[in-house]
Amino acid sequence: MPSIVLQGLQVAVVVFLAPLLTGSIARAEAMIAGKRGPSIFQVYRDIWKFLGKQSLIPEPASWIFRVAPYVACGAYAGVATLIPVLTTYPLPGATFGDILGGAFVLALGGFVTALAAIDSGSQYAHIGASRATMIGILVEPTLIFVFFSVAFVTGTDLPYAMNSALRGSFADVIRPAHVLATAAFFMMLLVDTGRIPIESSSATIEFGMIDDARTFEHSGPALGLFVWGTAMKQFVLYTIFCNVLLIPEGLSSTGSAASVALAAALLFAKMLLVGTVVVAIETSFAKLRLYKIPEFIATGLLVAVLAVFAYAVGVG
Amino acid sequence: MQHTIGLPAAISGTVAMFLILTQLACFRSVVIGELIRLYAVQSFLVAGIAAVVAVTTHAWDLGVLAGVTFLLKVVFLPGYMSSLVRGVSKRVEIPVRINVTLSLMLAAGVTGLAILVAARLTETAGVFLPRADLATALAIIFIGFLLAILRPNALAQVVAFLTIENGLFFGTVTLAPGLPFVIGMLLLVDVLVAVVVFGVLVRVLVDGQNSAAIHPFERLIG
Repeated sequence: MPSIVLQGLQVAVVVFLAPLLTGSIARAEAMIAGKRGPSIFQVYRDIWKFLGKQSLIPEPASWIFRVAPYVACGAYAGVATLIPVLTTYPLPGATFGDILGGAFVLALGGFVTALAAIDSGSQYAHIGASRATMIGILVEPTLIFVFFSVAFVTGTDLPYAMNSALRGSFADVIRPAHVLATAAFFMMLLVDTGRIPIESSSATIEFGMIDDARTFEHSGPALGLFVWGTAMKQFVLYTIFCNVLLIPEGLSSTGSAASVALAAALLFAKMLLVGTVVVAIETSFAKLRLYKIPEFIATGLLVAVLAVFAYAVGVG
Repeated sequence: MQHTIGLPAAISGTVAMFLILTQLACFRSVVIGELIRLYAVQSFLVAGIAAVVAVTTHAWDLGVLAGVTFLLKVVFLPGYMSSLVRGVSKRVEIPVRINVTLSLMLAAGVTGLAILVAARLTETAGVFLPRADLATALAIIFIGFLLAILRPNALAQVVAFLTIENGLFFGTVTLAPGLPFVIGMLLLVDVLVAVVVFGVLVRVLVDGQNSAAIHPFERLIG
């Protein structure tokens, strides 16, 4: 297939499979808890329902409140052009930005969401935004160290090139620096997707909520877009974790329709694997107190720094 | 400054890093039962490494040592220490001198120091020393000392002492696999004696602390 089509397909995979991943993880969580749980397509239904509803806008809100869901959703979908989702070879959009660029675009999504939350004038949304921003500030250095470490190991900071460098050698995937960086990224994955040591994703409304509190005042299509955007963000982070860091194999190298379909299926299988681990953590650990969250992130930072250190001194 | 790495070096290095991570995890846990469990995990890793070294170098005495290590440090000692804390509560929080985040940062600094020292030593000593193993052994020992300093609790300090011994054992196994069997056993017996002595001390201390804990209430009488 021509690469421009593949590029479109890649974004489409992220946009349209993301709710399925969220739904599958929710289902797995319910099953482990001994419940039947919602259908794995429930998130699609939710989004569809939200999109068909009326939108209410709080009185003090300005245009930022209205624009934010579109910007956030667009940012999360846009990152999909930079990362290897389906193919081993870079597609036209792959060189728009490196992995730090991708992180910036993801951060843009979080930023406009926080702005909209403050713009809504609601205290609850405001608290969510302030918490999310505080955590974001702490997560950022860890991610940067993770990317440094992976860039050291692979000699590049383009996600596609990282993937191809790691695909070549199994030794590089299990060397200390890379394992530590992967572990640190996994911890930040838990933080960024709002999983249990940080916040409980299944609870609807509670005092400890962080990410979901930000969209308290949004309703109708705007809320639908935020739900979709959160799913996309999770899918993008899982893709980076699976295809760039953990298992670089299984991507299409020819670009033929069959191999691309296989690559998509394999990617989803890898994500379910990671999702199972996340669910296992979710069901076996308790949520941290809000003031303990920096400790968790500091541990991640420590692991990431150790990764860079181990590489730089030549230990691994 | 990119450098490549072979598969065996990668695997051994990664296991070594896990050892350091269990050691660092001791800082995160403020509950004594968790510390003991972490020690069991670390001992299990060390015993596993000893077993692998025994198989690869065909040193069967080392294999025996690995087995004894497993029995002693994964099964017996954690069980013994758990029985020691049973008098108190296993979920009792250990007081910390400084907060967890800061102590983690200190631990990172100490680990960095260990890695630097190992790198310098292997450069200047002129002998063949596996750099990653030396760094790991040093890091575990340094972090163990830091743990003992930062936790004013007898049991936590016992665990810290035991992890230091784990670091030493790891060092002897990986850096000098030809070390005589007797010396290895000696180290183990040493630990056993030390822990029993520690155990008696902790028992006395716990009794004392229990009575000390109710001391404030005595003012309420009459």
